[in-house]
Amino acid sequence: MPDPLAIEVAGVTVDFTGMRALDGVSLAVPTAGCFGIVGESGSGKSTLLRTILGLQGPTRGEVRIEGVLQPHRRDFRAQARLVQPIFQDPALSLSPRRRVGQSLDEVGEALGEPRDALRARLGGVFERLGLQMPVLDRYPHQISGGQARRVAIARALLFQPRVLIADEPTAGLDVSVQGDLLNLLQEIRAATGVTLLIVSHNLAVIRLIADRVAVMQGGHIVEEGDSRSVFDAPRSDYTRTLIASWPRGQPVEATG
Amino acid sequence: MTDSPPIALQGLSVDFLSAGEPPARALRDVSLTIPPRSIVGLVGESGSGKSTVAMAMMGLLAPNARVGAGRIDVGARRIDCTDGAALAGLRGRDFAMVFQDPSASLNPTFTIGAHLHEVLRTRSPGATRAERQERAIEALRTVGIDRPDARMRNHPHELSGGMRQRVVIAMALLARPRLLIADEPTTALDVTVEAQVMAEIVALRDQIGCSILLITHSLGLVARYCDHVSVIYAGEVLEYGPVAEVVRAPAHPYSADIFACDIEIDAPRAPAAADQRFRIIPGNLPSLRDLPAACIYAPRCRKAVPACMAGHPALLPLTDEPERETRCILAR
Repeated sequence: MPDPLAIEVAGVTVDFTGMRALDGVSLAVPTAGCFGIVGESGSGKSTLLRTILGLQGPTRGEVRIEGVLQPHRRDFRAQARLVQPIFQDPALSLSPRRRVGQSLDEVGEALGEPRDALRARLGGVFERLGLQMPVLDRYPHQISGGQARRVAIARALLFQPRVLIADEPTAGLDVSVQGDLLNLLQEIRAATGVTLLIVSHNLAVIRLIADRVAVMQGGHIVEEGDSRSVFDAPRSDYTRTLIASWPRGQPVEATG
Repeated sequence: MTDSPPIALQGLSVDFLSAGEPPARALRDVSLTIPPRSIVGLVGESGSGKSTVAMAMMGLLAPNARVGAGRIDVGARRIDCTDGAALAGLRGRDFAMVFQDPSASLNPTFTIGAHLHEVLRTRSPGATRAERQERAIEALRTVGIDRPDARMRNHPHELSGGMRQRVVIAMALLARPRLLIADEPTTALDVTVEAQVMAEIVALRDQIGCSILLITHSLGLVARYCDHVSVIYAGEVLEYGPVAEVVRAPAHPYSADIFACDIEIDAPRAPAAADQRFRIIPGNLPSLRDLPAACIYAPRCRKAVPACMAGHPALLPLTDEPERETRCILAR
């Protein structure tokens, strides 16, 4: 039997009151690569992400992660080791009332791992992410936004998940620092063999970082394939429009 | 077009005060020249002070801001930036503004029509209600809004973000300002809508002959739409010049560094996506409460030499290209 896909989405439809957010979406995310999902507001990419994470139940269809049917709530530990999200806003992963170290210790409680063993692993994760141990004693408001993003990633990595899902990882970041986060994701990918799923509206970033890409519009996947072929020879009119709309250096002539 | 003088901002300095701390020197000696009918980009990262420039020109700074110095030349007038009443006289007449969030310019309890009528009551006090209605509908049609007569009766929440931004542009069209200040006008919009809204902003310039100050973090927008660009960092303009020349051969290492970090849609790719690595600028912004008497970028600059730490450089023209200005002592 072949290895299961990292993520398999089969015929997923999600209906909200009065609207269909996803309409029969199927997607196969291979293991150990970076898969990008691009689309504009209302395309359904966030609903798809929430459905894969088990935060949204599908009206029809099913999601499997490494062959395991989702949502898989009965075994929290197994679920936490299967998939972890990295949200756009790191504050979503950290309680403002607990020190960073306390929030990270929760990972040990969730996994049933003794605190000393967790803290030992934490040293390695912090080193890889360029975080200093004194950060553990701070509250979230006492660390910088960049550190908070790294702490949120550290929390996800401590679960040693098979799949990492990053939602708009570079949104709101300046160009001088977005490369730092992207390099970090690339290093994590190389060091752990994790499957990375990135949802983003940033076509230019996805073009460089993803092996495969799906383009979403109106609750459908309009095009999916190898990143090079999607960006260099798009088959769908919508993908062509999207790429052509991306601002680039050709000046627009004044007509006045 | 007659060659009217450019709109010139000269020597703007703004501090933000907070109790128990030294003032944050948010803008220092910022000057901008905006030629008639041109689009000037003011590009910078978070914390650079680019939005503070816009708010100071509009006289809309927060109460804890203190304008130390600055003046604006508009036509034959010279306005003192420390004089709030004088700035208020420019606002809505000579200067109009488009914000990142169109809701900031629209009152949720008023219809779209009420907003447009309001602009016309100020700008064309002699017009009858019927004339105003006709011109308002025409303005909505001009910025690409379907069924404009029906839209006049809608409230802002009934429109999409892109449509709301078009309404704000229609308001500017009716206000006929000399200068439109657009602060991140498309940042909250999808990329396909961004292209349409930028096209409407360019069309506005073509139609009423105004100048545009486009404040943005997007180098792609600057390269595509602007004639001149001013690069701002930590409250100082580090470089100014025609876009094509600045992009081709930046005269300040900071400009070169952020251009190199920008990820373009046609950037060179590593053979395998897993091998792709991205450029960054190491280090952090300097503290605005404790500024060094040196080049503001020197601590992060790849090209810094001891002379860069020896004094604070002025913004001066390049020897061979007097149209361009830089604060970098190595470029002279």
